[in-house]
Amino acid sequence: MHLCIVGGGSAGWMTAAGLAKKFENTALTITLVESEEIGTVGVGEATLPHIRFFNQTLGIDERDFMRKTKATFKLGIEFVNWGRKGQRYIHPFGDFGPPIQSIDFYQHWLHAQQQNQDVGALSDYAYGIVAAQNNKFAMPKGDSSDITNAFGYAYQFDSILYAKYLREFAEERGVNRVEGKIVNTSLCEQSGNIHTLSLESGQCISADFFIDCSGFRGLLIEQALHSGYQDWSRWLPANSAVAVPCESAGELGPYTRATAQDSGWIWRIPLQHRTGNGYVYCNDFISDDNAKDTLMGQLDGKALSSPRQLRFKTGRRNQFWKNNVVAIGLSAGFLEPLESTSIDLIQSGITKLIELFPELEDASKTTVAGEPSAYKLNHFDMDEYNAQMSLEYERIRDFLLLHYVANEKDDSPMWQYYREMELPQSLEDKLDAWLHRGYIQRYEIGAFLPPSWVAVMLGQNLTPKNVDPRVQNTEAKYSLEVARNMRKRIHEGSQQAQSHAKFLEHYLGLNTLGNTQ
Amino acid sequence: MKIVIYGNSIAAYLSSIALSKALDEGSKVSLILPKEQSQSDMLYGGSTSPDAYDFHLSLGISEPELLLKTNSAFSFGTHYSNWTDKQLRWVQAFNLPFPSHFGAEFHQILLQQKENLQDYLFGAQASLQGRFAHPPQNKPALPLSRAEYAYHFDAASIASFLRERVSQSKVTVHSAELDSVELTQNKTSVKSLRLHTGETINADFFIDCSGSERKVIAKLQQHADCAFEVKSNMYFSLEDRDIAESPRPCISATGHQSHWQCEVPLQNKRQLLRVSRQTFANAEAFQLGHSAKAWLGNCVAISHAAALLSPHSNASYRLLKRDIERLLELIPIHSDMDMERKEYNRRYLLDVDHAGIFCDALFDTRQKLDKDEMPATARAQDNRADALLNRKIEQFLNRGLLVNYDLEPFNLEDWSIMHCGMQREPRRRDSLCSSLNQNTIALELNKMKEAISILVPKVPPCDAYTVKYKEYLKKKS
Repeated sequence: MHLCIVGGGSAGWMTAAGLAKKFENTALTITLVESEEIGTVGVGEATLPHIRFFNQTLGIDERDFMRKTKATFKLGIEFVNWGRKGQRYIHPFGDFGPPIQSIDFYQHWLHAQQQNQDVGALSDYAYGIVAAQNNKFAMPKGDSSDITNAFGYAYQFDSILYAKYLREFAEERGVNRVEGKIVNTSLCEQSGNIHTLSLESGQCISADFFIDCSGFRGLLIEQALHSGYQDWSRWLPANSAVAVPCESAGELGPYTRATAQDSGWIWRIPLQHRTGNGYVYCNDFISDDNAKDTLMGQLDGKALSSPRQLRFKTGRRNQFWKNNVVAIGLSAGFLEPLESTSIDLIQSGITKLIELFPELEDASKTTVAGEPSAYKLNHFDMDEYNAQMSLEYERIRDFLLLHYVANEKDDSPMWQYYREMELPQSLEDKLDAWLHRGYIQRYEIGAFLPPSWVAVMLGQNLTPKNVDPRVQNTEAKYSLEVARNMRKRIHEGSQQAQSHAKFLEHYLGLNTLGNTQ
Repeated sequence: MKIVIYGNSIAAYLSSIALSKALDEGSKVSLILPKEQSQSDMLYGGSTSPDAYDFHLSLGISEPELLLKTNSAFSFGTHYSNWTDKQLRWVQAFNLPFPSHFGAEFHQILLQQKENLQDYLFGAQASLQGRFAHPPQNKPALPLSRAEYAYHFDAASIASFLRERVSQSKVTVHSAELDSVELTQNKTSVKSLRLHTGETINADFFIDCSGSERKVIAKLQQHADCAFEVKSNMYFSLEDRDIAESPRPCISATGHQSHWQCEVPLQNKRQLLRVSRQTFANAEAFQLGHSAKAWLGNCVAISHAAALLSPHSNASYRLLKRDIERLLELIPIHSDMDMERKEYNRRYLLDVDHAGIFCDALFDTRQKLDKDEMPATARAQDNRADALLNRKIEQFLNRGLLVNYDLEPFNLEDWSIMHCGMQREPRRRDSLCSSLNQNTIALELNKMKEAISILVPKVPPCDAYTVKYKEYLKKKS
């Protein structure tokens, strides 16, 4: 089977690397077409912990990868001004304390709060948060029963360098890179499948199967196959971003920051050599120039380039896989990167594609007259892929929307818009359940599990009216003692950890990073 | 909060124990206990799920007590034989997750290698040879450690044991028959239960554990446009037999021309559950099916009072456990229980659907996809559960894919063992298998298989093991 990937950004090269590794020594040949003239969006500099599994599957050495992509560690995301102005919280990768007598720890904490007990903030019970607040980092060790090991971590990296790193990886495993701009796609009249791409150079590329990583425009999935798009901008109206890197300043934090603004939010992602910044907004609420000025006014250090403008529409393709094309990355859909899900969605698309990959050698392959290939595709695979990806996008959508609606802000047109919004029923139910008794609707499939929902809801001042009545059956003295010991252990553990910058220097053998205090 | 449970059933006792353990003195739990045990208790099919050890422990019931005070026995699963018109035979063993280091899913590797999954299940092989030992927790390399086990139980014996436990708990027990159920004026909630003694029992929250009779919830169902949806009428009988000469640690489910039957080995006897679509001598009739909502107003129906599934798997016990866990998570806080009711019913229906399709899949004899068959999504589907089942079976028949829904009562290993046991044959192999070194894999598989075949005969016969284990427990106590 010959597979062609269109586009060479993070999505293109992650897909090429993933498939080349998984289908090494098989009948699969891969060509990736990219155009330096078009360039890439360079989406997603911040990631979720799942990325480590992706890299491990490829057999990538963590140190080598981090050096070459200028990566830093990430323990979570700090949300500033989301609940109300001047307030901040960290959404960590990990839970808040272990359950006490089979009841989630946060329920005991809520109960103690209601009883006016001095139990501190819930964030005191998550090692990842305490370490992040102190700009510390240590690798979690094997024993997760120790609370100081009960956290996950991800990376913040230069996504252009990550794509370059994976390009090398993929090319070493036989992926053929073709430089060129695609000017035409031709379809098989009978099957509707794409069979040839024509490049500006006159070169034609035929393939049995295509992966569309061409970004927002969806060169194959939309422009050629007209998959259609589910527009979710009524819930997530942001349609623009302006991005600019700046010089690093201050201590190197092991976390991404998302600061709420009147008309959107600003990201700040610290890397080894610079800090990535961007303002995500809806241009119904703020002009591009004003957004740019706001962003430039909030940089930590000197801007390293002029701001770059991006446009998008929140939503997803009706079909991620249509005929012989699978869309991965921005061509599949767009959800604002408030929770660093862009690369995670790419990874998820690749994982599912590998699981549902078409037959590599089709013995029954029949040649349609005049067509170079009529590879038999399977509707069962397509249906399953589309069903699984749809659920993934929808669940992330609800979680992102939560950040906007879990507050009472109404001091700008954008926040007023959210105050009047009719929520998806799925989210409405989750909020009702939380507010009533701190209950989290659980699911197994999706990027964000209960601790994430707890972090955001409590972080944004959504305090439940009641708690799980079962906590009243635990002796208060006992739960307070457990809590006190846990806090102490976390505090001690974080004190013993190195600063994030020092840890990176030692781990990666680097010279001094930023201002390492 | 005043809570009243009604019923003489395993569900009533377990619910009583669970609530009394979970709630503080501020909540008053009462059990109205009619004289006769619910007939529908036989429809658990005599088997727990493999997580019963932890579930029981969470209720303060230990394995030693269970074995010493009831006639419960160890179970590695169910041996199906002469099953369906295809006359299938396999052991639906309980197993921990399969090895994941091959580069493709274990069942896909076996399909590629044309190997039989049964040979790689310690529980299956030990069941066939009538052997049992506790899976060790600290020896992951030992094949026995991958097996899981459940318990066979006799509904009457376990009920008597649990009744004793309830009497030792904070629960107030009223031994009385139910005369009538009085509803609130708007007919949306239960106001009180009137007993034969003339007593009237009021409560904030009622739990119907009356089994298939649904004595409390049925009254609300009449006014809620939410009737019990009957799926089929079935006839059952349960009889005791002498203990087998060499008892096996598994249920034997056997298909016959007009019926099927389950033989449940216990410590001191066997129980034979016979099930047919046609009536026969001494048969009890039951309507299998479920209610769309288990919680109406201030009353929740637990286990068979909400859903009655065919007992050819342990799905009913899994639902009972889920019902109790769900109830504990959603115990009402006050009289406004809209949120709890809505969420309970959402989760209940998902669990019933997911358990139900596992049961249905055990009678679904599709073994291949037609050459040009299109996915069920491309055609009209009868109902929600059919759509879920079709996706499961078609995806397996297409390429051996195990479709996973959220938080299913049966896990992917259960489905994998069942698909292979039902001889469902994927029309193509997983693409990932193409890149793997088949010779290396064959060697490793051979080692795994051999390790099981060598170890199983060294494990004691299950009856001898149980006797020795009980002697040890008695000495220890």
